[in-house]
Amino acid sequence: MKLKIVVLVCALALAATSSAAQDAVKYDVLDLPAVPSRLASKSLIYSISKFGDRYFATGQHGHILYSDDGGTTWQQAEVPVRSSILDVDFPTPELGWAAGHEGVILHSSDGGKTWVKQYDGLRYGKEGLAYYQALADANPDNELYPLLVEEMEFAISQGADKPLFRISFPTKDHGYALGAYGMVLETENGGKDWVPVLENVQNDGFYHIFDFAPMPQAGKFFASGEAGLLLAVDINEEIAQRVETIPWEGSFFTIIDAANGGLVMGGLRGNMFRTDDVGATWTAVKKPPTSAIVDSTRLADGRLVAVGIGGEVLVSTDNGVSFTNVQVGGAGQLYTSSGYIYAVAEGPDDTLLLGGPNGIRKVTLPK
Amino acid sequence: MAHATQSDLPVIANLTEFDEQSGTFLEKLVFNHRGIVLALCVLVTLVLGYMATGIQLQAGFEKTLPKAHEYVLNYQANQNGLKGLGNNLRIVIAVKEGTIFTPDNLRYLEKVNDEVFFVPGVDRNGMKSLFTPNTRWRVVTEEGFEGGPVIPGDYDPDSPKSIAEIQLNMVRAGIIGDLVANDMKSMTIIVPLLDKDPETGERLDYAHLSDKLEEVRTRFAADDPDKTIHIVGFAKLVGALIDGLLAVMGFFAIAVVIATLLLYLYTRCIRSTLMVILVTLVAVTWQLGILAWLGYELDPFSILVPFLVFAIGVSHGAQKLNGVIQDIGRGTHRYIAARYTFRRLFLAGVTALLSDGVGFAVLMIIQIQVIQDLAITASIGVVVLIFTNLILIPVVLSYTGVGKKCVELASREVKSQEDMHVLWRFLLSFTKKGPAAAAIIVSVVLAVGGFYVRQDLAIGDLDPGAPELRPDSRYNRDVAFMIDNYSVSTDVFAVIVKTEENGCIDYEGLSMANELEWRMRQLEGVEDVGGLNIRTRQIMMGLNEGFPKWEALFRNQDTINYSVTELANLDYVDPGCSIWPMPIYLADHKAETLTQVVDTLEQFNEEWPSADIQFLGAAGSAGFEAATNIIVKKANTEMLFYVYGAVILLCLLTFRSVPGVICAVLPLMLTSILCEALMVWLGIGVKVATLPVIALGVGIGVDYALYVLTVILAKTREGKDLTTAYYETLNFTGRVVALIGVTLAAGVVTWSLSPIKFQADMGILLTFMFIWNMFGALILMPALAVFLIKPNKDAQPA
Repeated sequence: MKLKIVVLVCALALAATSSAAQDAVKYDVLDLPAVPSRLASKSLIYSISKFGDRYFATGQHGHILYSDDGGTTWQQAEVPVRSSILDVDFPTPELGWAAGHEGVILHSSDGGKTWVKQYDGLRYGKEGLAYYQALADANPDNELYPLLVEEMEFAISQGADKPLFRISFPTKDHGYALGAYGMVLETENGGKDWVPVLENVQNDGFYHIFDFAPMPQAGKFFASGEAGLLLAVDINEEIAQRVETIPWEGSFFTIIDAANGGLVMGGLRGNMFRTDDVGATWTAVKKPPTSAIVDSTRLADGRLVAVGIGGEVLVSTDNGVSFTNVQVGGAGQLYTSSGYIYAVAEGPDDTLLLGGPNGIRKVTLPK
Repeated sequence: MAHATQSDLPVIANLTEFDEQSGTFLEKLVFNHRGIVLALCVLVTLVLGYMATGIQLQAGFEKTLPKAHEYVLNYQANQNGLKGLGNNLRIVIAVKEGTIFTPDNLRYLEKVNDEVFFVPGVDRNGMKSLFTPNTRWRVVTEEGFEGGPVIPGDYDPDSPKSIAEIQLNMVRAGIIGDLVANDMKSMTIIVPLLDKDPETGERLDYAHLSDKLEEVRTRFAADDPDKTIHIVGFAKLVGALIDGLLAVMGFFAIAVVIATLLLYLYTRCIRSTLMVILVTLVAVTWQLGILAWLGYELDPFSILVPFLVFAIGVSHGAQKLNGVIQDIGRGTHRYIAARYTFRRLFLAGVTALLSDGVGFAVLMIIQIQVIQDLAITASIGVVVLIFTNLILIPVVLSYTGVGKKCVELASREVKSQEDMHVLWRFLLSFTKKGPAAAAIIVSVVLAVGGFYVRQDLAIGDLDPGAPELRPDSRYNRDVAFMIDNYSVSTDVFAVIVKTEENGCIDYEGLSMANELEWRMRQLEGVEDVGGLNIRTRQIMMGLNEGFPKWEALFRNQDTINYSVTELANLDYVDPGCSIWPMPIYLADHKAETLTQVVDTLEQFNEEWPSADIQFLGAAGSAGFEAATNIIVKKANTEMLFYVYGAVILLCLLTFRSVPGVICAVLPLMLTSILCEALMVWLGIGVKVATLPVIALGVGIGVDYALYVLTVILAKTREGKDLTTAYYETLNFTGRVVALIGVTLAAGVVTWSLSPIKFQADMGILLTFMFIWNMFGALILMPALAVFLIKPNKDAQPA
């Protein structure tokens, strides 16, 4: 009798645990808010940028940080997701957008202190499919739409696997988000609706788009990407055309506009190229060999700074014709987690803010 | 326990007048066939002595683990899948002048590297260093990955160009802080060890391996002031512990010498002193022989048992000797004196030994193998002592008798209270109300103070490095060197991550691992976290041309699959893709740090229960220490409860008087409190090694009370006042109590010299307890008796 009771109790306990396990909520970073952490500014940072007087840095676990003292101390924003956040943009001091992994787009209307989710990658395939299916049905002669329908079906099968690398709002209503596998989203109502605009982008291979920089002409910019992809984008014409003059087929992770109207691109294996004629011709930048160039910025005094992922800091005083290695005060050991650089921004008073796997470092830059 | 007084048996000088049929059955059995008994003992000694020579030394760590704790069970169940944690040695070769990148230094390093390669027991395929071909660099290019060994085939140490190439490769391989020190002044060889010799199939002999490595170290670094070799890893630690064991054996000789001297000073008789020491050594031989026969191995804990057995044996031998000397002094024939002593003291001795046994037996409740082994081996020793020291010593004394000098000493008139040595008069004063009250007040103050201090008593080990060894030991200096110059920690708490077969690639599971990793990183004591999920994020970035914005666990199953496959080849996960360790590297192994980690893991599991993935505690040194701390903390209170329960019961049975029990137990409690305060003061935490100390201290400490208080109680029952009762007690057993305290302390105090840290801790604490308990019995106990025990007014003083 006793034994039977024991067996029964065990069975009940088993049933209880297994039903508890079945009831378990699925762990998904898209559903979970970021948690305040003392380590946020000391762990992986993907991007650093400055809008007005406020600096922003983005990282893993839904980290969006802001600093009002030139990057010395950082506050952590309230963010509704735990995705890796890769970029922010603030067209006005109050209104800002952020983008990141899982195709997430966030919006802030209080200068970046609190954020709400506007979009995620699960919607990309679903809404994109409906959008392009409608277009394909309405335009049966168009050859591109069925391809895009296929791409969206593939996107649905993959789930929210695509990061958005950059987000840009030329005005407070009109914005773009650029990302992996050629993902380009556009909004004209401050992010209430995000619409894929792949049909206007000449990127048949669905290559990743990593960065963008404005051309001297208003309303135009370049977007650089994987395998030598460079797109000349015209906002007014709503078209992005592939630039065929690129002399090299490696990936360009970063592109920066020089003070003289030239453009400089950097990428894999430390390759850098520049153009003075809006992409008609390209020349190789004179520079020492470095690891892959992953970010660049233009300082207030017109110097250009490019960083190698291994920890090299390169400076150009001639609008990108040549770069030289500089020793920044407080640099870590090259090729170690203390030395890796993932992101760069100009700090106040001859400093650079460097982001990397160990967080944000404020280093001094020789004049 | 009936302590018969000395004068109740007739003095018989002539052997023929003695009735051989008098005495107990056991006495008749032993003494009427004493030749046979002696011959049997010699035979047993020869047989067991031969067996004792075959006893094995071992210093494995499994036995120190709390075997019933879920962490240990989890580890044992998943051991085969956790190869990544591995049984590795790290050998660091350092230069003082310049960096390792000079032609001479590179040649030297390569030579040592090759030498290590050929040490038997080394898994040569898995060995990894700057010089092994499996240390490769890799960069992402537009065409994919490009790479090669860090030291290429055409390497030439004399060519600056070749050296520059190696340095670049080293940087690109990302081995700084791992295989090459952050300051470029040393390099590391990671040496995985084979559990079994592939040719002979024999188990890895740690002592032998350690010796071989020591030989390499001596050959390459001993005479060169510019070079040092540091060896860190479990195998070397075991080697150091075995060296420590051998050193401790040497201390046994010192303990024997001290005990011999003490006994001689007490008896002034070389013949009987040597006899008692010899018979006690026979007891130790028997004990070791029985252990070898039963298949026990000597480990750093059980090696201490012979010391205890010896000390207890000598103190009981002294008892017997005392009795025989006094009888012979009175004129009794040596054979009859031996029989009288046996008759009087056999039962008392058995009771006292049993009370020691209680202290040992209580240790059996602690679910840690080494402590249980300690309990069993010590109990065997106590049983052996009943044969040797309670039976054999009287038998041998019946042949040898004692020296004249000590007989003269013993036959002197007993001094009156006034003429006694100042020390005895001092002790006697505590039977007066004033000094007694003072003693009690001082004790209360000590107890309160001790209680206050002991609140800070920490659980676990407190010093950095391997807690088994002293902080300044060679091994721990090597560990410190390693930690200073490399980005590694030796305190690892490895969460065991478990899924279904092939479940390790599940995005949600890896995502939860990220969450747990991040929570762990928030803790103050966590320096770094490793594991499949972290490396997966890095490989996923590598597969996407190394662009940092890809360094994340993104939900692309193909990329995850590819990354994990690559990592399975590197032992980050078992080949079945179902078990992997998440090593959490800690700043130290203090209990507070470990508790935080354990709590974080438990809280995570409560918040995120999952049917698909389990995050189990825990492997790694810190994981086991966390489990040990949990068990030890619980066992510490439990054990006090049982040991005091047993002692109180024993006292109650013996004294049949509640005030008597209070008088006996309160001094012991004071000692226990002060011992814990001493631990705080000396920075010793409650750990596996200190658990037995209080049990032994109390179990053996109650002996004193048994010897002193029984006599006092007997006398007061006869109606004598306390001062007289105590005076007579001191004359009878009191002096032996002092001798016992000192010989017990002498047996254990030598441990404090041991290179093994916890043995030293045990030695210091046990010495303190033995001595302090002795004072407790001689001072506090009579002081308490002043207020608690009233002489029987009805009985007429004899």
